[in-house]
Amino acid sequence: MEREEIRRHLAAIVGEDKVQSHPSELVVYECDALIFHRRPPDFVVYPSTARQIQEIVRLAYANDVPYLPRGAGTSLSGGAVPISGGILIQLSHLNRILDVNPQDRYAVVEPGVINLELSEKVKPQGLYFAPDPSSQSTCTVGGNIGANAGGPHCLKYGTTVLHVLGAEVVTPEGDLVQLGSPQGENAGFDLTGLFTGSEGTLGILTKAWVRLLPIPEQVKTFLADFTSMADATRSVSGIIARGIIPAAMEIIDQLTIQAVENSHFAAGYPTDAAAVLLVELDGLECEIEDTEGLIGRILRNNGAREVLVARDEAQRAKLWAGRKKAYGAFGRLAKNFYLQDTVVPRTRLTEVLEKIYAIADKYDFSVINVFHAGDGNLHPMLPYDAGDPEDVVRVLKAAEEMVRASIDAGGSLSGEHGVGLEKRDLMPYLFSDDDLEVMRGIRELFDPKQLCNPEKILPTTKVCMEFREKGAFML
Amino acid sequence: MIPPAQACRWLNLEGGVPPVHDPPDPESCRGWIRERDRAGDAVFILGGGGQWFLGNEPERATHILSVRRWDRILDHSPGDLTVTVEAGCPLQRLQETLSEAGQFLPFRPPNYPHATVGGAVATALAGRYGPAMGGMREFLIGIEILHADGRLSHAGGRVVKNVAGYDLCKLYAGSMGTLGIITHATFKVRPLPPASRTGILEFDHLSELLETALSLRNRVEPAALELFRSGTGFRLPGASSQRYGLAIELRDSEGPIEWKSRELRGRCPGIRFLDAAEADSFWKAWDRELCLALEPDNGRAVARISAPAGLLAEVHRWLERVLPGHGLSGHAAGSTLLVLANGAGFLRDLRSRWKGQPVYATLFKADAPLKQGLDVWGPTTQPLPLMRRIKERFDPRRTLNPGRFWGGI
Repeated sequence: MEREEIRRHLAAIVGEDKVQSHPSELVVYECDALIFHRRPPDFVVYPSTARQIQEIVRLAYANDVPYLPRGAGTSLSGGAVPISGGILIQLSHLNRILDVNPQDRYAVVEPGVINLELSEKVKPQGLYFAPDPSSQSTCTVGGNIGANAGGPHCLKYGTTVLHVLGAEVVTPEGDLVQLGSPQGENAGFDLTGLFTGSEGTLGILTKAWVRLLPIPEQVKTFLADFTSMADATRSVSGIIARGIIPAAMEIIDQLTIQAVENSHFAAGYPTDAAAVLLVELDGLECEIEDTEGLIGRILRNNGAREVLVARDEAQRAKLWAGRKKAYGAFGRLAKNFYLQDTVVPRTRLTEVLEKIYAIADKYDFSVINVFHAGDGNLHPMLPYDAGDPEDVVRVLKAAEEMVRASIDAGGSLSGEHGVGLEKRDLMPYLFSDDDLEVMRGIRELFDPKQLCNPEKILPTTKVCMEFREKGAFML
Repeated sequence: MIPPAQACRWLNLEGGVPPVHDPPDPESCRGWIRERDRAGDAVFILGGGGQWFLGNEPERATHILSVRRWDRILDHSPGDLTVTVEAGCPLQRLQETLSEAGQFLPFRPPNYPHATVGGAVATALAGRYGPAMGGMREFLIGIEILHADGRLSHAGGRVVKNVAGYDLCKLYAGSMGTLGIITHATFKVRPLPPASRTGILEFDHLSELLETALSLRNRVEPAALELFRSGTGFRLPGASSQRYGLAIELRDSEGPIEWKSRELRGRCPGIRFLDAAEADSFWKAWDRELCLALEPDNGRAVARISAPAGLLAEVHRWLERVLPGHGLSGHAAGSTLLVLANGAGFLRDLRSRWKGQPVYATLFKADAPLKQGLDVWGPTTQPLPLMRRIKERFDPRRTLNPGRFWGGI
């Protein structure tokens, strides 16, 4: 089928005004929040029903046209880049909260619902949606499910997959199917669990049943400041070792503190500290009373100069704004930043962080670390100039070494951003050929023609062979 | 652990108990399973054997593969809150090791004293702590699988947060050994609460019990909220066959337990707290009664029924009419009932009465003849062709536990 014919068919499905095909319109969709990989789609469509998505997928399937879903485009792994061109299915018009069931604590939502809007909507019922990635004011629930998104509070509450009970999905062959059930009841293989985090490669989400949690009765936020990063990471281990799992434990390093304090998001972090640690407890008042004294002691015993407890909601919000808007605050420091995402066993944090600083030194970068310390999820950020090709190569090399250092310490490629295009070719560093073959099998049985968000997650067999022969690979 | 011959009593096997292969480690099993696969054999995987009551009658079974000798704890890193353990390790032994470091896994699958790690992953039945603390899909973070063709593959890892590729741990958990043989698994673990207390409330109507349970769930966040009524196949000492009991188990440190107990007394003046010895014997009796109900050839059927909180009491009122005198246990906060009866025929009527509504009924256990002709799992909300394709990809010759799973997978 010719391009124009496909456009006509798409227009017949969603309406003329819901199809874009002019280069000036398409360029907006050429990348996501990771800017290294760019390619505009051939078409952007804005369906508003599951039925329309089904028809689009069937059209694509019949004509061997690649396609992919997109939520808010906040992916940091290139997962939402239409790297093979084709049809980009923009899900922002499927943005209704269809039902809220406070008794069974779930909501039925369309994929384009904004994460934070869902929590705001169910707040009057005393509930909220737990996954809280930094982009939660713009990212969509569908995107969260695609990426199995995390956030600071998944230390206690787990990543998105633990909050998805069921999903309605258009399969790559164009069938509309239900995975799981509203109650999360066993219905055979856990296809909801498999689908969550599949980065849009196993089908397109049209509806999800998501768990809601009760808003904690009390929240208490501590800010401890340290004269060394090692003391901060030791405090994290100390808290876990005492059998306490806080709602969140976030470390912010010196450069970040300075960037935040010099910005609009100044949170009152002590600017002479080597690192600050945010610890948040939530739950019943009696549980917090039981733990807060102990937290203070552990922090001081591990070298905290001062432990501040947020006195009210306003101060708490301010402390968190500094953390969540840290990336925005960096805007003043460099033209571009490359945000890495790796994860290591908690007990290896100190050692891997030292390696990360050493790698940054080796490549002559000043690295910034603001990360989810409680679950060992590191986010080194490297300032660079995207307009300088040499700088780009340098930053990619440094980032790759950081990922390898994490994996060598028993960690993984990604804690919450996903593989996408960014880390696809590093998968053989973590997984054997047999491991990858099993994943490839999943991909093929869902999507025999490999048209649904192609070229993501899994490296080609050729890449695996080259990787093993040369023992190195450039991102 | 349950001897293979005894476990086989749950299955209607022609030709008696198949030969048992008992390799010392997964590596030495690779060649054996490859041969079985090539020969077109059907291999049943045996852990503790305590959950063989689950699932459809087997399509065929030529061999039993026991993983009981794969019982090592490979790595326990208390500071990381993770543990890697072989499939045949008894769950209770693992819990003992974890408890030395002040940690635990909140799993209490049926026949808990016999349970192995691999069996717990394969069935993914969490037990009484599941609704409040999470089930297998929450705690399983890494796995190694021996495939029917002799390959070994890994998924996940040893970190608590991981999005590298497809999350195959989710696929294997609860797949009843139909996709591969679990050789070892890695879990994130929880700090072990230092204290516990159990209180009992009684009600005349299940609807009142469920309403109270939901309000307590929000207010005191108990570790377990289990409902019960003595009747067919389930007789707790001191419990009446006329009234419904709610067992509230708190697990926490001393301070919060005292606070929560006061709160419970204030809200539910009729609550009776058990002392430590009473609580211990209550939960032991609870486990024992369920074990007895699940025994083979006892004429009993046990069905698991789940429905939204708003519908569960209505479903139960209907059950009262068609099945008077049944025994009852279940997760009040998880909106799930275990119904114990003398036959399994009611299941067909229940499914037809509540057709089209979110009421899920699975036959947990029934004597082998009673299972024949019954859809044990019930209608699935998921696409069967897709699930069959998964089975075909992982186990194309249908070597592993054939027929046990949904849709005869």
